[in-house]
Amino acid sequence: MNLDRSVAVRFDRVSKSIDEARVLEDVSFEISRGTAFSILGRRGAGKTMLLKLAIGLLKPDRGRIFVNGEDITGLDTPDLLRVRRSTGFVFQNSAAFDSICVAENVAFPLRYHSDKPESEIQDKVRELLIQADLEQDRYTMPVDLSVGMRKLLGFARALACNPTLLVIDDPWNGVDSITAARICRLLLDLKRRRGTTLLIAANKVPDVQRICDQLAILDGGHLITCGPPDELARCGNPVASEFASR
Amino acid sequence: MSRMWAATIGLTRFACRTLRELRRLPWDGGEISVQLYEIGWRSAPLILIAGVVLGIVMTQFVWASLVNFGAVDAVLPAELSRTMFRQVGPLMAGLLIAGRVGSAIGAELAVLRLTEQIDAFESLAIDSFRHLVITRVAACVIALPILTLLMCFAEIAGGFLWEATHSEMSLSLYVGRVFDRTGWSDYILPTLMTAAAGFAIGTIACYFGYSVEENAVGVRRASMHSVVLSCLFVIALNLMVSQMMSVWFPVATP
Repeated sequence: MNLDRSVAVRFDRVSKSIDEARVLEDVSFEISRGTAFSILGRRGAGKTMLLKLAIGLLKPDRGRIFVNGEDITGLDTPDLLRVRRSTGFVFQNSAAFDSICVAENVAFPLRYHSDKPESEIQDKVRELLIQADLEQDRYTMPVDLSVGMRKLLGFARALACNPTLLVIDDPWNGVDSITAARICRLLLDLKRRRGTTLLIAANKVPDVQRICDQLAILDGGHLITCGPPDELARCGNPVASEFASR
Repeated sequence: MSRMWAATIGLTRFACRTLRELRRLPWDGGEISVQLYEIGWRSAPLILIAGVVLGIVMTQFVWASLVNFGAVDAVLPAELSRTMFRQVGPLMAGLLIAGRVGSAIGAELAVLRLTEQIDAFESLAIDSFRHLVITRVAACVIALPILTLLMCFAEIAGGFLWEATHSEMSLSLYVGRVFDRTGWSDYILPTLMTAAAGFAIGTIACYFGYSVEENAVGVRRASMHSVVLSCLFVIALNLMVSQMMSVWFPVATP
């Protein structure tokens, strides 16, 4: 079943367990194309799992997930890879390929997915590295980068193939305030100028308040509230109020 | 016991998927050549040194056993080469590669899994199974027969080194006697069967690395299980081939 193409992501009563523990229970939400949606929750609430479900890295036990109007729940590997051509994922620990340098990390998806000449690939890599402020570190190995720089490398690599949906796992965790501000600017730029749909997992409301159109709070496996950031404090849920007050 | 059963089923499914994917073209030629360099070319020194040493040691023992019966110089090169091609070469090459490459692949893929780099491949719309597993298995399948031949010739060279220091046999005479009683049947089947050993080593190592779920302990286990199971498989395969050889191509009595 295909859905309205104006919806970038839709979760329909999705449940997922690890071993015997139920992590997500009947989670439903949808994200309109070109908007930013943030999932907030305490550590271990299942945010990362939810993000991985959104691009098919994990399969739900129950429910369905739609990406750009296509049900990805039952897709086989080639079809899933086709859907992922239009998505990007920034991992919490960046998951940079540690045996190749920064520039090669960014060039990797470009070389794999296109027949562009090397000069064009190098131009694109330079552009992405300048955007992520990593141009001076192009020959540095990922292990020699700071946590914040590795996050920026994760962004540069995920943006290499111009995704229409970018899924970001806790981008502000462990980064200094300057890098945090740079990440904010990068996300705002992606949303406003390129119309990229953003799905962001975060721990704190102030981090995402400026960027996101919708916030949802994940607690005990359920989405307990979902709405614009300014309505968070008014929803009456104690966990949501606690998040809003911090 | 249930864990072992789960691993057996998992490994069987993984091997079936690997066979299925190996038949699907195109292969990732660039990555296969990288793996051929890592698995094949960089194993060559180990194979050469081990082969020469083994050749010297075996020649010494066989010479000491046969010297009292006479005509040892006439028999030794031919018997040595036949033993090397039929048995020792494929077995030793398989075991050495299982140790060197099996552990490396198992540990490497386990680390890639635990640091989410395999997920990163998938998130970039790259089929991690084809990019990481198929390329390594294909490289093992291609490299092992070549390394086995290298091992056999290194062993024969080692045998000549020992002969040269203990008798006055010339190189041309030694080479002539090496192939005196050796037919194609003596090395085609055992060498080709090492391609199956290469498939087994690559698949087993990739399975334990690719499906690791734990932390550093998982890496250790992946590496250890890769080596142990690969070695057992190489020994079992060698036994099977030697039985097949003794039925199909029995050793002719001089």
